[in-house]
Amino acid sequence: MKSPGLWWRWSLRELRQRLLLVVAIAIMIGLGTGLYAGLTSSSQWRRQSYDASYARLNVHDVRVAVGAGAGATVAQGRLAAVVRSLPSAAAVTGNVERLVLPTEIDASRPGHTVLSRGELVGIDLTARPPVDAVSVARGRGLVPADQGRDVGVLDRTFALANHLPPSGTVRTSGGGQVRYVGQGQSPEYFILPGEQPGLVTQSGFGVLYLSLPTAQRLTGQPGAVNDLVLTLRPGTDTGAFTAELSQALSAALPGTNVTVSDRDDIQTRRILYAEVNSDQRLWDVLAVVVLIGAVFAAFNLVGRVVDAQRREIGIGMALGVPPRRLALRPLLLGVQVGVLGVVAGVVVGLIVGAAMGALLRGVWPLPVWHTNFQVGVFARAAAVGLVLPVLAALPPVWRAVRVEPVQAIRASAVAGGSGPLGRLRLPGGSLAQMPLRNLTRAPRRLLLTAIAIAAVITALVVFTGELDTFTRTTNRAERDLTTSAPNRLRVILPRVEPVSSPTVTAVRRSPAVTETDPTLALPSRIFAAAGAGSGRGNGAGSGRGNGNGSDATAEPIDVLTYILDIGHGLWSPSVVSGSRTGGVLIAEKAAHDLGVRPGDTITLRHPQRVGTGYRTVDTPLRIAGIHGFPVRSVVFLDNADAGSFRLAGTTNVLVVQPAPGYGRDAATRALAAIPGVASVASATASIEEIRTLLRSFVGILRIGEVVVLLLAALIAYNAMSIAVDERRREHATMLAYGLSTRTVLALTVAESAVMGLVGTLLGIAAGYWALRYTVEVLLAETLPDLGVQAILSGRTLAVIVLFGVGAVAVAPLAAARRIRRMDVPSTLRVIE
Amino acid sequence: MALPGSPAGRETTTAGEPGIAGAPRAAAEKPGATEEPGAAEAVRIDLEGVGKRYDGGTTGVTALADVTLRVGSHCLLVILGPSGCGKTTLLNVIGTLDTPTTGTVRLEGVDVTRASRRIRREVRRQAVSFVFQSFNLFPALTARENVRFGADVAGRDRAGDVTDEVLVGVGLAERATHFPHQLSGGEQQRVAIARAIATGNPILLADEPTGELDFTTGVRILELLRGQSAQGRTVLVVTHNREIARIADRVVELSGGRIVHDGPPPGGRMPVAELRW
Repeated sequence: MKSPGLWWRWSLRELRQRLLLVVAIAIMIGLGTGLYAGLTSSSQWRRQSYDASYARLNVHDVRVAVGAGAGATVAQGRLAAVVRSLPSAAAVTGNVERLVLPTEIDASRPGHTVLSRGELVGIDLTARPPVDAVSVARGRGLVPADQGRDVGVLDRTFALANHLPPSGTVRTSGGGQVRYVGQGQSPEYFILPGEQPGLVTQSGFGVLYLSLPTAQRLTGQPGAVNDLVLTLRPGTDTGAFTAELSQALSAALPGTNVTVSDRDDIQTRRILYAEVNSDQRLWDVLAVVVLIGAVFAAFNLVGRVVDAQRREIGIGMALGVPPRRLALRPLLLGVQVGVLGVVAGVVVGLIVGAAMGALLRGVWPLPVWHTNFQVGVFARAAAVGLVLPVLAALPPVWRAVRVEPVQAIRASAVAGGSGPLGRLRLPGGSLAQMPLRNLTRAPRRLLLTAIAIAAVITALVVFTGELDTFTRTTNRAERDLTTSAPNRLRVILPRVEPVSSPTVTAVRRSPAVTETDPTLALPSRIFAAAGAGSGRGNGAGSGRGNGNGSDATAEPIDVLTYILDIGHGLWSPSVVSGSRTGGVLIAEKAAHDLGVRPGDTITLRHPQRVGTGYRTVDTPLRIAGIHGFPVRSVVFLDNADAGSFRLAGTTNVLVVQPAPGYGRDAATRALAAIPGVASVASATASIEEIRTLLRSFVGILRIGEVVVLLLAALIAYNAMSIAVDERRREHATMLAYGLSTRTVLALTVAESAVMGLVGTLLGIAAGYWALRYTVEVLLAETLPDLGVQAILSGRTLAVIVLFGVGAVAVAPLAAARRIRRMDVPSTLRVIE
Repeated sequence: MALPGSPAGRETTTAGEPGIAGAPRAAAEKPGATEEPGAAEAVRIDLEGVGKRYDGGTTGVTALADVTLRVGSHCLLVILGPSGCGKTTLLNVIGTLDTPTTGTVRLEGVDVTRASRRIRREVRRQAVSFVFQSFNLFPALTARENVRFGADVAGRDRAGDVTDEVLVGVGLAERATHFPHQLSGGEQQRVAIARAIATGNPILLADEPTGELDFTTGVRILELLRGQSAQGRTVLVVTHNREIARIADRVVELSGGRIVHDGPPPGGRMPVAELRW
């Protein structure tokens, strides 16, 4: 190529002239690619961080739990002795006996009440190497010298959520008092289990790590343990070892209910890893929606900038310059935009990444967080950002070099067609026609710009619609729980007891309560009975079924079955379809996932009392109705329908109404102090659990929302900037004819508003579809226990319309100065 | 609506006007004023010692120097001179698109030399209209709508009727629904003239109106402009083409920003049909 320097200098001069516009388009690309890179990095960060955190704390390979919540214990040393007696004992690299018991945690300080259910975890501090160690983030950890002392480490997530200081004092059930000297975490509590299966909490569940003797003393069980965690040599067959251990335990501890589980059974660990993949699918969709918005906008804007060079291309053609050389300059513009876009993308990606990292650390405060720069992800996004503007420059160049030079030179060549759209006529004079005519004279440009706006509005609808959906879901849950006796408390007992037991009697007689409702909350499992009813299809979570009839192959659902006196107690669940009694009440999501409806039969696998013990039985139950609570794992059963449990006259959850003069905290404290009470929870504790479950989504959606708003503002500004540039001669003519700058601006604003309206309406339509897809398909997989329905509130819709139309409409006002200072004579004398 | 500061308000009706509906509503229509075709008693454009200098850092350019000029109605005045002599600057100053550095500019008796932006805008809406070399039509509007724009901006009553009559007057009634890019260069310029006429403003400023046109088309444009001056308008045509100056009532020749000749065309006014270039 001859004179490459000339072309390069020419291109650089043009870059200087259009620097603001080029940078703005580049930032737009950067926002799209940066958000994409930031969102898609999170899955790798999470997986790496989970692996590192579990490894650092030496997570157990096998766990032995005695009693499984029934409060049973064995003598200290028994479990370890069984392990030592195993033929495969050499495979064990570490084992630690523990005492894990429910408690009420009272971490209140003057003016700041913190009362939550929780667990005491007594650890043998002398065991080496430690298994399921406690990582301390603030203060200090427990040392062998702390054996037997009333000091402990408080769970970090709980402490952060309740804004507790690094050290302090907590009280436990039964009047114990412990000074916590640090805040830390153990692998099983990286996320804190909600009371409801499938839900998690942050502020509602406190774990207090103690030395084993301290825990034994506080719970009144000296020399007892109920838990053993151990690690195995790498390469050990965990399944075979578990089977061998189970057999040995049955032989050594006859009549004692012992559960042996492995690492994969840690529920919180399972949730963490399962969420990574399902979350990522959701973020990918959102990132791609935003990226598409940026892509369309950049494509359109770069194309329009290159279109403006059409005459120069025509002049070049007239002078005999080969088309490929003529194409060079516009393509160089594309490269410049692309390079700046990559730089902007890396910067935005780092900012989004930092925000995501901070959010992830806040939502899941793990001991180790890797939020390093993901080169591969960024390279992918950067490649899109680099190639896109060059591709965008190609069509207008192609169009320009294909026509005769004289056509390219003519100003009218870019004036557009005069088809049916161009002849649309509005009432009023010539000024009234102008905005709509300006748009319709170039339908391709209108379409591309409208699509760019629509893509961003689509993303905005998805982001804000999801927030709406979450808000509506939690509000609905809260409303459902507070239909009656909103101040009621739930007194949770460590085991099922007769209603005449001393603890229940003490609660009844407590001056803190006026009314007591004995109920049962029992871990159960529901699954569709084969051939039952004619359901509407299985849930997205199960991934099976044909949608006709109930799905006996759908995955069973772990639930908590609440047995209560429906219709007569302090509170009863609301029913959205069917009836309250005459069978089981299940959640809408559970019915959907199992493919059943009221009147159908499901199987409830539940504990049944046999003598002094329990066995697990399957009971077919008719579905009486669908309750209004949006959590899949909640099942209600009227006392009259719970005969198969054989638990009449017993309770493990007392629903109580605080006495007048007793606030929630005072009543909680009074009840938690009663010996035999495990914990006390408010009626709406589940709401916090739902909010916690949604917290990471809300945080990321907020980040996405900010990026989308920036993107929309940039698209509006760029489109306006180019439009004002394209119309400068028309504006000069209007000014020469005596129109005021204000009128010229008003015409431009009207034109932009119509453009914004078209884009916004398209975006809302596409956005609502995308919202339904993300909520009803992707979120259903990500949050299988939550029944969420896509909702776009009227308020949000109004805000989006106002924003979409408003931001685009007012963008020309940014050009007021440019129009006011326009050199009218010079602009008018440009000879075509 | 009255021109700000003018001695009298303006009529906005064109009823009963002779010729095409865009005929000027000028001083002749003002109460007490008298004006006959061919007479130049009412001074519409009054420039006194006008100078214009453009400062460009250490160097400056004098575009106009001590220009004094009075022009009445029924006049076709051609401003002649080579490129860079200040013709367009003079037109811009008269059209209130530019302000002089020195001197005074009066339009229809109103001093607009230091007038505010608002008043200058009002002058453009009510007193002067432009015809540009490169037409500057609105590409999204049809020929009719472009002409209607002139009537609308000036706030004329019965703007639709005025528009149709003006279009007939410039011979474009058949092309009224065409968009600019569907018209030839000559047709586009006729639309531009029609737009200026439709304002009803008494002063018509044309900057190289035939610059982009062939001879035959150029002649038609000049005939149109000649016709406007005959109807009472003051028509100023800027050109570097001496042949065009021969159809003028009066020729002002500029050189280096100064008037070097002001008078009738040498050899007298020639009918448009006899032009050759």
